[in-house]
Amino acid sequence: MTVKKYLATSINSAAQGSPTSPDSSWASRQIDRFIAWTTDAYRATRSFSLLRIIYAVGMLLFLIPSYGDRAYVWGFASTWLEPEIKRRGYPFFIEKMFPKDNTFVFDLSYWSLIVLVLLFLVGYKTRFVTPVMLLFWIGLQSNSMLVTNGGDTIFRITLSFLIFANLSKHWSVDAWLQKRRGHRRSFTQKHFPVPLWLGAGLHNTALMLCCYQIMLVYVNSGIFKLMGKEWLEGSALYYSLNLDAFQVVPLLSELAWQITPAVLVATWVSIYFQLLFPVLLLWKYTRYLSLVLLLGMHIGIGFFMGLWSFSLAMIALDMLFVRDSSWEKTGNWVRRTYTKARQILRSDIGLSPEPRSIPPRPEQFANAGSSMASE
Amino acid sequence: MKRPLNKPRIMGMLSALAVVTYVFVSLVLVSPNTPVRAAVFSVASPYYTQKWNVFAPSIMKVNTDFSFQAQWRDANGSLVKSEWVNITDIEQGNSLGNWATSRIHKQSLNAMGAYQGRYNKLTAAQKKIARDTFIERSGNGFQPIGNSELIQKLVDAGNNRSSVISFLRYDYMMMRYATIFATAYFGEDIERVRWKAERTRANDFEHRFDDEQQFKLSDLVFGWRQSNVTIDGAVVNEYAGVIERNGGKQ
Repeated sequence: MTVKKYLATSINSAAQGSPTSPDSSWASRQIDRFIAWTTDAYRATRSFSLLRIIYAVGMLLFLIPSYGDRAYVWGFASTWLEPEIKRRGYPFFIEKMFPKDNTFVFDLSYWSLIVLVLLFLVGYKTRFVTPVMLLFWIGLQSNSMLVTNGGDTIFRITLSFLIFANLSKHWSVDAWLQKRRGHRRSFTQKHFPVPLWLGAGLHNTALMLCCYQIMLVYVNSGIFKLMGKEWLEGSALYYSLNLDAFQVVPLLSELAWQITPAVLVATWVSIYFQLLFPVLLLWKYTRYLSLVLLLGMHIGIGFFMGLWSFSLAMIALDMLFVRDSSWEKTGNWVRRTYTKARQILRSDIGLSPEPRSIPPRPEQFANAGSSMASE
Repeated sequence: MKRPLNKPRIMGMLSALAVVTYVFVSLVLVSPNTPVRAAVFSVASPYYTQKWNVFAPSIMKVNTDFSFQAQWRDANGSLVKSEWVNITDIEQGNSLGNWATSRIHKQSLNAMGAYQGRYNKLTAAQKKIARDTFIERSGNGFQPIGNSELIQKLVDAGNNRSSVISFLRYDYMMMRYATIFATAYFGEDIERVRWKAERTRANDFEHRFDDEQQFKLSDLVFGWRQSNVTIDGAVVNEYAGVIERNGGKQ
């Protein structure tokens, strides 16, 4: 969708929901458009559902490998950190969630956090699970300032926004239960109905805050990089690949830095695509180009430097810039291609084609509707 | 024409207000130190604190490991001095080739990084004192230099009390960390510990294909500290477990 088409769609949807008259001023029309965009529908629901799954995987990659060392890193064997921990300013109840002087409660909290992340992963009671999981997440992180990275910080900050978002509309147990229930309303829906303007308003505010957060990370980091000599001369990647703490497979890192053009290009791409990210988002093709390049960059960071929780957090947030309509188109295309490929494969090996036909395109539905109407 | 203030409009305004507020708060938090930042920090910290300059502007080039040495008394009452033990190497024992590694691999590395950061804020005269021992003679034996005496000695050498306190707090933590680790590692009643930042650096980009090592960095060695820790058997067992799980003694 071009910028022009997007604006036209937004104006139309705003006009449907608000009393914009032809004599309204430009500013007033923009405000109406913003209000309509914010309150008349839940945006980026597929991206948010994907984010939920990616975040959960990132958090499990934090919790499960560290399970054996939990007492040493956060628990009763880490009391030497107390003089600094006490100065961080977390409230009493947060500090007491993972007590260093009670192994049973500490372990119970650690297990509870793992269970909460698993529930978050499958999307069960997500509205309730998200804030509780965030509390436990902060509680664990408040026990040590030495082992977190940027990914954990992103989880902490954005989850406080995501409490207000609908993260389980797709690919979740919540969605499955809702589908099974059909038109019947759940207990919560019956007794505590949330009007669309409120639910969508909170959801879309969370979307805006998350999108802003990732732009802040990119632009802030890009500005700092622009001030660094090694970043400008294109050698920064060489140095980061040579740090022991970030070498997962030293042989791979060695091989990577020996390809000089790759080092130069990857260093420059990481500066300029981060710095220009907000501008590149404005046009469809530059948006997808930057998302693909940044996706590659984050997979590279995870693969070479082992910073998977950071990489996954950034990938999940990048995906918020993909619209629901784009996910739908991609899903339809994948399904059609898969069905076609299966049919070709079956005919090649001499089997009769399957009775299932290729799913119709959305425009075919539209045509069918109009032809039926004309009849 | 003025629009009626309906619920969606109020929601839209609140939404815009939330975004504008967070934009302001986050921009102030990532900006250099100012009085406004201090005020915002006091409200938004620790939940929304963030910094995104880990590898910039200057990229990290030096590997810094945390190594310690310990002393204990043998059956004759003579002090025995251990070899250097690299905690970072032990903590990273299971990291190689592991894409989903335990967070333990960052602990001593970041502890030494933070300690060095505080050390670097001291003046040259204070750094000299910090690298010296914090133990003094007492009659026929030895004792740690008293806190107030140590603070005064360092403040007299630089007149930056907050940096001194901040350094000494971390120094105390490092003493506890090294003492418990040494107890678990050597199985002895540890009396003194000292530590060093063991530093290595890859060749510069221009010399990346040279076989000869370009930099031979000296280790940053700190003086002996009296081990002033009440040893808990369960904690020592946990440390021993960590050493065992990560490949055993060096």
